[in-house]
Formats: sequence, C-alpha cells, structure tokens
Amino acid sequence: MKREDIDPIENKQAGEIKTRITSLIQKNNLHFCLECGKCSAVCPMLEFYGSYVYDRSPRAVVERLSFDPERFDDEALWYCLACQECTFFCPSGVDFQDFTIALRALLLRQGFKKYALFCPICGTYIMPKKEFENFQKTLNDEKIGELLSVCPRCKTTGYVEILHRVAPIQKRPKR
Amino acid sequence: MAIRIGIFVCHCGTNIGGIVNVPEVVEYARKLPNAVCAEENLYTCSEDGLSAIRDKIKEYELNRVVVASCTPRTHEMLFRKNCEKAGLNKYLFEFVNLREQCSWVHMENHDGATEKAKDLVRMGACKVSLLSPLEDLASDVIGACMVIGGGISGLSACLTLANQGYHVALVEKKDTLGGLLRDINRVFPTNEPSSDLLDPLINSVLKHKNVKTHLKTEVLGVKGFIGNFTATLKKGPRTQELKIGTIIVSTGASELKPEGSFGYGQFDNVMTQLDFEKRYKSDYKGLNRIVMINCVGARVDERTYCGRFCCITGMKNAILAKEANPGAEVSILHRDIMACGSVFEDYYRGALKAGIRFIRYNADRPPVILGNGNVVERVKVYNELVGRDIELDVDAVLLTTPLVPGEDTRQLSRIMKIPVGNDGFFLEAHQKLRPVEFPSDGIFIAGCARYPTEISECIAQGYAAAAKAAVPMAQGRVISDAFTSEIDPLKCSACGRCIEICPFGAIDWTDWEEPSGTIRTVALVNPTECKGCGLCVASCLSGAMDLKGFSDEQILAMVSSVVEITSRVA
Repeated sequence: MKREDIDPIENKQAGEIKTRITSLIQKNNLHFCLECGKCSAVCPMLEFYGSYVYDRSPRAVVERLSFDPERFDDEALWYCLACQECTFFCPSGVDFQDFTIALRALLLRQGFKKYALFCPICGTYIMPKKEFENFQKTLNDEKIGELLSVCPRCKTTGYVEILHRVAPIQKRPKR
Repeated sequence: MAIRIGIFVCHCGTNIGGIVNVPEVVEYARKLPNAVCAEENLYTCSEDGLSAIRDKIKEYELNRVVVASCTPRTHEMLFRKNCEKAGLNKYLFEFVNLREQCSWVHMENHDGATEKAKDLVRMGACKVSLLSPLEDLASDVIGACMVIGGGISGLSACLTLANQGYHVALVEKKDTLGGLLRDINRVFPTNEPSSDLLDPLINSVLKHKNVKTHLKTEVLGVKGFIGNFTATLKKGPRTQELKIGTIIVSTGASELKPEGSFGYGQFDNVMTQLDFEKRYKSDYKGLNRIVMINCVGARVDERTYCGRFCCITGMKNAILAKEANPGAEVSILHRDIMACGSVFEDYYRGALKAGIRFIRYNADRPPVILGNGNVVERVKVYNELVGRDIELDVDAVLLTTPLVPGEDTRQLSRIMKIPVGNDGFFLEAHQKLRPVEFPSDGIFIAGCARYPTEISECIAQGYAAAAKAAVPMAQGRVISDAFTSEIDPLKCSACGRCIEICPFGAIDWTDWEEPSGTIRTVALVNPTECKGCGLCVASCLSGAMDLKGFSDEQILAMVSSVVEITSRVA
C-alpha cells in the first residue's frame, strides 16, 4: 500500500507517531548503534520464549524504527522483556529498555492496544500479552497466572476477592 | 713475507666448551701449517680475551688472526677493531663459528663435535692465509638533498632539512605545490579548510633561503650513490644536472576513478569523493538526498587492500552536507567502518549523531544503481538488518574509492632502482625496523607513495625521512665495508645478469677500453653501494665477478682442505 493511499487522518497520525519516535530515538541514543550485536547476544528472549526471532531483537527493532518506521501495528514490538541486559552491555550507550517502555506507552496512547494485557479490574496496562502467555505456560499453574493478570494496586485493594476466586476459603460465621 | 697465524679458540662459557673438547682443538691448531700460536679463552669477547689477543699479536709478530668462537653476526666488528688496535690490518682476520655451526647442533655427539671443530679451524686457517690486507672505503657526502614531490610529505621533509641548514632541491612536476591536499576542501577531524594547513607551509618553503623549488620539473635519471648522486632534471625543453647527497621520494598517490562501477562515467550525478569536493567546493546547498557507497575498488580481488581513511573522508563530506542541508537524507552504504583511534571513533559518533544513516551491505550483494537517462534516481541495497531490499532516492551518488599508486611510480622505480611492492606502491627496506628508507643507501621515502596515509602520518613520515637523510649529511662521510665484489672486465660478457640481480643497485654499465684499444661496455661495481652479498658472483656465467673476502680461490681452498683429510681417513 503506497503512502498516498492511506486515509489522510491515518497519515497524520502516522506522521505524529514518527515524530515522537524520532525524539525517543534521540533521547535514548538509539542512533549510536554500531551494529556490534552484543545486545542480541545477551537478550534472554531465547530462553524465555524458546525461540529467537531476529525481527523482535533490539537491533532489528532499532533499525526498523530508526529511519522509516512504517508499521506500528506490529507484534514484534511487544516481545521485549525490558530486562535491561542489552542496555547494560551496549558499548555505545543505547538505552533500549527505556526506549521500549516509552515506545509502548506511546503506542497505547495512540490506540494500538491489541498486544497488551490490561488489568480486568481497573484497566491499567500490566504487560505484553505474549509475556503473560509465556508465564502461564512456564509456570504451569493457571491460578498463579490469574494472580499475575491483575495489576499490583488492585491486587492489594481487592486481594480477598481475588483470593476467593483462586482458592476457596471457609466463610466465617457472622457474629 | 711468511704467514704467521694466531688461532684463538673460545669456550664461550659452556656453550662451546661444554660439548667441544677445546684443549684438544687448541693442541690440533698448534700443529697446523703456518700456525705459530694457539690459545684458548673462556670468553674471548671480554676485555681480558681481547687484550690477550693483542698481546699475542705483538709477542709472536702475528700477521693473521683466527678466532674460533660464536657467530660473526655478534662480534666480527669487535674482533676486527681489536686487530686494528694491535696494528694489524683488520681484514686479515677470520671468524670460525664453533657455536651455531658446531657445538649447538651436535649437543649429543661430543666426540663428533670435537672432530668437526678441528676441521672448521683447519678451514679457517687455510682461508686466512689467502686473505689480503684491504682498506675501508670512505667517501664524502654532499650536504644537499633532493625531495621529489611537493605534497604535504615532501614539504614537511623539505622544511625540516632546510631548517637544519642543508640545501634542498624540491622537484615538483605540476606548476603548484600541495599535491593531493590541494584538491581537498576541508580536512577531518577539525573540518578546517586545507588551505589553513598548506598555505603557511608552502610560503615557508618558497621563501626559505636553503630551498630551491623546481616547478613543472620531472626527474629523468639518477646516477651515483649515497653522498654523491647526480640527478638529471627536465623542465620543458631544458635539462639540468643536480648534485646531491641524499634523495627523498614523496611522489604521492592518486584517487582511483572507478570507470564502469556503479555508473561512474555513465551518469552525471555519480562521482568520487574528490570529484564531489572539486565540483561543489564546500557549497553543498541543494543536495538533499545523498547516498555514498564505500569500498568501491577496495577490498576486492583485484585490489585487496583497504584505503584506510576513505571511510572518514566519506563521513566528513556527509557531515558537511548535513550541516549545509539540515533536513537532508544522507546514507552511507558500507562493508565495515574503519575509524581507529579515539579521534576517529568520536568523529564516527558525531556522524551518527548528525543523523547519517549507515547501512551495511555484503560484498556478494552490492548496491544497484537505478538510473533514468543520464542521472541516477534511486539506489537499491539489500539491508541485512531488516532482511530485505530497500530503495533510496538520490540527488547524488558518491563513490568512496581508495588511493592507488601514482602514475610515475613504475618509471621512478626503474630510473632509481628502488623496489615496488605487490600493490604497486613503493616498498620500504623493512616494514617495522626501516620504514622510511629503501635498501639502496641514501634514498628515503615518505607519504602516500608508500601506502595510503592520512595527513598527520604523511607529515610524520616527512619528518622521519628528513631525519634519516640528515644522518649521512651531518657526518659528512660514509664508510663502507671493504668486502665488496669486483669484476674482471676482461672476462665480462656484458650479459647484464649481475646488474639485474643486485638488490642495492650497486652495479652499472661502464665503458672499458680493452688492451687491444677497442672500447666495449662492461659491468662495474660501485664499492660504496656494494654490501658484499655475493648474488652477483653467483649469477656471473663468465666467472668475471669475485667477492673480496670470500673469493673463489679462498672458498675452494677451504673445500679442498676438508676433502683432503676425509679422503685420507677413508
């Protein structure tokens, strides 16, 4: 699809997102990437997801978004675990973790919510859906999975209700 | 006069004495023909050992000395000087190697080593009887230098020598000084104009009272040797002869013009980095979409070397273009980025910060030029990081090419008998230990004529060559070893093999008058340039060439002295 074919409103939105992404890139030093590959080497995605797809790696994301970001409706942007290993090892000072978090916040604000998990009680953003799915698989416990699916604040305020859902508790007789 | 040989056998600590039975060898040496004394010593090279030799020379009126110890590479000069101190001509001395050639290679066989040591000493005594007294050659050095090439290296060398008081003849084939640097607008990493570097230097050289600048002049021929070169210069129709003591070659290099690659020569907006600088002369306004392709003609089969600084040159032009047009899209398609050292690493970082896009391409999938009419409109490149082809719109395509040897290099190599390496640049005597000189004494090299070098190194090499050239000129004389080769013109068949094979250019043609009166051309060895390597002797088919100190007669006598004894034993 050529750029001229897109709806002008969408075009305007794309322009806005691009400008903000560019400023995020500048702020987090993404343009200093030397393509040394250290980030991809230390990234734990392989262990966590069982496979490593290059398209989701820090280098690929940086390259895709740097000069001509096209697709923002991209699941590959929601695989990163934001664990900070890449930021720690980068010799050029690229802060990919901060960038990922800020990028996701930007995408959510612009309405690209498909790949994100929200708290069923208050609606705040918790984590990427992919990450949650993997937790459920690896932890092998649906109940724990359910616990994770609620945001920390709601967990503390509505704790008892959640607990009832998760494990049955004897009801105390009323005094 | 009767030959009186003194033989001194060394223990060399335990190096020799631990394997060879030295006292037995000394006993044997005493009985050799013409030997009047034989001694042993623990360390003959020590002051004790040396003075013992001197004492014996006087006591026994020796006129030949043999020292049987380690290798001549360590102490030959020392022992020769020692003989001279005692009043004996230093070339009436022979060195026998009982260490590397005997004890060290026969460590398990002490008896065999001792017998071999006796043979070696006998051979040495035989040869020393046939040695004749010789004198060192000394020649004066003219205190003037010719610098060929008036680029930044030549100018730096010129000024250094002139400031030290030597006369310098600066020979430049163009009508202006400055060389390749003249075509460059701004120099990295400071991005200052090149004229800031060049103009003060050129002015100092032109005004200097010790420098004579010859513009539009070429070197036709060079004859002579260190301290006494005669150069023939040609300016227009006139020729001139110049007498100098040393020569510095700084003829530089040229940028490769890659005809046929990536549309160069075919499209109007495809050019090299230097073309770009010449065409736009720092006025880069209006160029909004630039693509640079690096490693064009470098790191390929026909030219395997890397241009060293062309990555940085490209970055410099990219940064300047971006400064002139802040919204411009500048992409550099590279195979690797060479930016060694903190200055260049920071420069690279500056280029990244300015928003220049670096895309890596593989040599097997080079970028493709998409043209329309006589301009290139787009460049297609396979971006490895995203895994697909991308197309970039362009206003101009810049090809980053390496420096290639200058067009005069081969001719100058022939004229001056200086070597050229595999890549066509001049070859220095030794890459690490003798980086600014040629094997032929008195000729030095600086700058890009040797390999592509960036400006600060060119200047440093100019200084280095000047420093080395000043050495013989400061000493005023050159002294060379007397063991040189000599030709018997009667036997010379003028085949030219010795002239071709000599690595130092020490042999040349000369006219010789035969006893019958006819004049014919024969070869002649210049003893000052000759290093006594013996290649010419081995190559001479007519037996006309002989090497003093290792003459055919002497070597054959040594051989027969060994053969004689073994045939007796058998």
